[in-house]
Amino acid sequence: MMPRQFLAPVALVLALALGGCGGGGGSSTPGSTGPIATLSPASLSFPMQLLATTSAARTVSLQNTGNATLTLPASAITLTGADAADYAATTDCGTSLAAGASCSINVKFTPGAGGTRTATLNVASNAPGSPATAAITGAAAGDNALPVTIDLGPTPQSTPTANIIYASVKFCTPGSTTACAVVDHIQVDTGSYGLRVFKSALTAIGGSSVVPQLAQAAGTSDPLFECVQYADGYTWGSVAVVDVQIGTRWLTNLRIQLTGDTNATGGVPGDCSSHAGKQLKNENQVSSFGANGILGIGNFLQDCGFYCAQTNPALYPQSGNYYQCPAAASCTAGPVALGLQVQNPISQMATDNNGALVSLPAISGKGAATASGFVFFGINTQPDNTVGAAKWFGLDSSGYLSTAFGSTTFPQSIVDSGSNAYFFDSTLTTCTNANYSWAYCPSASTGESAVISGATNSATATINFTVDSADTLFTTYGNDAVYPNLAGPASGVGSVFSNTFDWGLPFFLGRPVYVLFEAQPGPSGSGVTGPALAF
Amino acid sequence: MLNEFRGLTAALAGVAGLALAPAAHAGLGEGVASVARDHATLHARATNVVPMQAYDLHEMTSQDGSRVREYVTRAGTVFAVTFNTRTMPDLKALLGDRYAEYVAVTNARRTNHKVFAISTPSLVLQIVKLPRGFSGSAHVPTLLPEGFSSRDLR
Repeated sequence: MMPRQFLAPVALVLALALGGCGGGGGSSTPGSTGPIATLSPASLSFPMQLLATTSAARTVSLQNTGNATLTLPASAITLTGADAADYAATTDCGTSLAAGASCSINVKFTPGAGGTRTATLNVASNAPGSPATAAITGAAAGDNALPVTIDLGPTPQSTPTANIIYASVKFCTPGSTTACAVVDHIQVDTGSYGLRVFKSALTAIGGSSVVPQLAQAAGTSDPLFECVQYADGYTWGSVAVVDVQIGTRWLTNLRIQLTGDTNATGGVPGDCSSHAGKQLKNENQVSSFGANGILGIGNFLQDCGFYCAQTNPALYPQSGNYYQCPAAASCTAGPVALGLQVQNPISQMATDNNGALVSLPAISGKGAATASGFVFFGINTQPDNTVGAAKWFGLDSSGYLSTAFGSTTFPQSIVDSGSNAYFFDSTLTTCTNANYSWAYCPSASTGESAVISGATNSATATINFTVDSADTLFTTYGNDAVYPNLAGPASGVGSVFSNTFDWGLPFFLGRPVYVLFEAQPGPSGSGVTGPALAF
Repeated sequence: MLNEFRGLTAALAGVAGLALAPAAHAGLGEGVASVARDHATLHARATNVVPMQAYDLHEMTSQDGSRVREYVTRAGTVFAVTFNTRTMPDLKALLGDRYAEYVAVTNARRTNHKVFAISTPSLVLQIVKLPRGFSGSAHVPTLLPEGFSSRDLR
């Protein structure tokens, strides 16, 4: 008998609705009865979230898809289930919802423990089948997780950056947990090793509170400086000792480069900055570099390694790396023992120190304003860095694997989060715009396919990807920072072929990449020893 | 230790990885005599001159695995160089007068740190920063010998 009592008001509402809307688009059908509470989406999945931090809200829409007013009792919205305490819901839904109307329920996730966290969202009402439910899942990142973001980069800068992953790192005076500054927009780079921070950024953010201790050249009281050269210029700065917090992990007395720090006498050595008086591009400023620093977490443990530790200059000349810089004389290049070089910071952690997992979301369109992900310290050491089905590729001692593309093999191929595009030589058209003449501008979106092979094992993987015109990307999607289909030539002209196929940042989007450090054993059955990659 | 450290200086003169002595230009478009001088200043474990049909290939390798190749025409002009080195080679020496083009482009705008390339009528240059080294090639299109394809540069 109850349904009949509902029928009368339903008919009235339906008539009014039809009259008001000119007969179009009603969600009710003749013969349906009463209010219907519909939740969409029917399930909610949160991206991985740091322990004890609160996510951005995800919205569930509550719509009355019935044909009578939906009545919500007090405390209509509840969370139940094993991990209900990890979730919180707020709503703009009132005490009733007219037929066809909808309101929002916002859910936030604050993981209280590791692993997968589940709960159920319940909405009680007068609708049949009450409560309506939506399943909620979320995963908690462990204490080995470092949140990372792709965005337009730090300020000041001359132009926004594209496809650069950034993290924040806390720098402290050695021995202090309060004389610290959190520096944002440190670039995460799997193609280099060691932590670098621009002195100007550290000063701007931390004032004079952070006092790095200068490292000294072996057996002297002279400060140690380092030159870092790039394809387009150089940086120069002291080797400094600081305490840092990366994610939740504290590292004391870590050797880093204080980029842009200046030596007392003689300026930057000519074999770093210039040749015969011609200055290479000076990239000692945030504005010219595009980041406040670099977090180099690639496969090697030091930025230079074996060669810089060799003490026979006849066999191993040392210019271009480390320099001893006395107060009253020009700098001279020289060897530095492995342990005193700038260190890959993950390798210095007490645990989760055998490698790293770079995990970034897939981007479905041609551009996205930002993207957020994680670097997880360690491989197969925590629930959040297990390799699963990813395939292992052994790298040679220089860090190369091999790529076959078309009829060409690129023996010096690299997987490098610090490259902001796929860089490879092909017949695609290079852009004419001088601001990105380094990119491809094909007339149409172009599908490509290449095969990656391990250097020390027989693993292969076919990688399919798309190249879109940088003209399109940088105009139609000009305010974005993430471009999954950005590519450019390695040689700049079709008539020269580089030996390198550079799998840059787009490769990482939606593809977890595991970076196993040198000399670390691969997982059982992987057949590799570091340096190796899995994806 | 101090003296050991400083003692390197003399031996290092003009050498950056496999860089060439600043005074001894073996730059693009310059003479082969300079290449020979460079060999003497390098700490090369092996130096080969390979006569090819239309040019000579001068290859210098060093203990640290660095390698520079200079391509020299029969008339004695360096028309191309390639390198695979542990540190950035002395580009001023390798590129000769065309070094200014490289510097001008890098200073004109934000450029990529890992991959750099320019292509003009007088200089085609590419440099890749590798995990622990550099590779690159440079050539002057107008100086290529008859029948030589820049794709053959290795």
